[in-house]
Amino acid sequence: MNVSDIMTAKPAIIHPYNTLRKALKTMEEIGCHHLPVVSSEKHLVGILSDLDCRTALHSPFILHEGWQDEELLDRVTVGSIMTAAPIVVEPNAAADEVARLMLTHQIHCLPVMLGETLIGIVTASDLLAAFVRLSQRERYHNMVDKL
Amino acid sequence: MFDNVCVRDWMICPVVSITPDTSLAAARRALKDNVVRRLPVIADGKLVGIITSGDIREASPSDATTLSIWEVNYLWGQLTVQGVMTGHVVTVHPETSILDAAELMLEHKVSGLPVIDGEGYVVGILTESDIFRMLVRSRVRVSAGGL
Repeated sequence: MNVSDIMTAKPAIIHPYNTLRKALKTMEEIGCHHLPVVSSEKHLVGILSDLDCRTALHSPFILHEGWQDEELLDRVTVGSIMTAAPIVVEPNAAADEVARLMLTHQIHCLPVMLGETLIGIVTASDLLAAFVRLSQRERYHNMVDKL
Repeated sequence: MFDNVCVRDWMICPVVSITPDTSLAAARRALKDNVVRRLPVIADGKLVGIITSGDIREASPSDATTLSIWEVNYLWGQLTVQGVMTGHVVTVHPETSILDAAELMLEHKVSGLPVIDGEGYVVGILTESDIFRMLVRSRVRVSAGGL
């Protein structure tokens, strides 16, 4: 099983000059936790996680006025809170290479690059789901063999 | 291949835990010192919650806060694990199969499961990373029909 078998192809992207508000809205609409950050020249320049966004906002546990978050949503840009120059993986890499990279670098998402072009992202959940599918298939075959 | 693997084989034990009345500053130190991303919260020997590094980062004052450092330190000092932790925790038994544990993680969108024995005590913790370690170790490739 390769990265291309388990990745999300053609992922939604965000630009470094977009606001935090735009990033959070995109994540909410799509239901994702990571967005690759792509420059105007269509180069991958970073990756943005929902935790990056939440960390940039005021703590929900520390007293503050609502307008202060509103102000941050429009003032903070994606480029200022993203992880720049992220580790990437090729589509034909083995899925267990993704596991190794995630473990080594303590990350949950890898952009998938074919040359200079972003073609997908692969997350820890994608990898876990692939493991579950594989194991379920194996369990099913074992059951059939026993019949 | 993974059908007979159970949680006990790959969980981390003994597990580092914390009490609900611990300050967030101390919890953050415990995460850092032990190089872990989540801590089970235990009171009177029983699991009452879980707190992650993400929970603490989200609760931390924003870099863009307009509060004074004195105010921030005061407010931060008032926060304890109890106020920030997740109280409803999905758990597994040491003999649960690793496949069932992975399915639980996906279903509940969590990346770590405290492991509870028959008497209700926390005996370990299983995370996505532990499953990925297992995958890397097994080094199964496409040709073998695996990950």
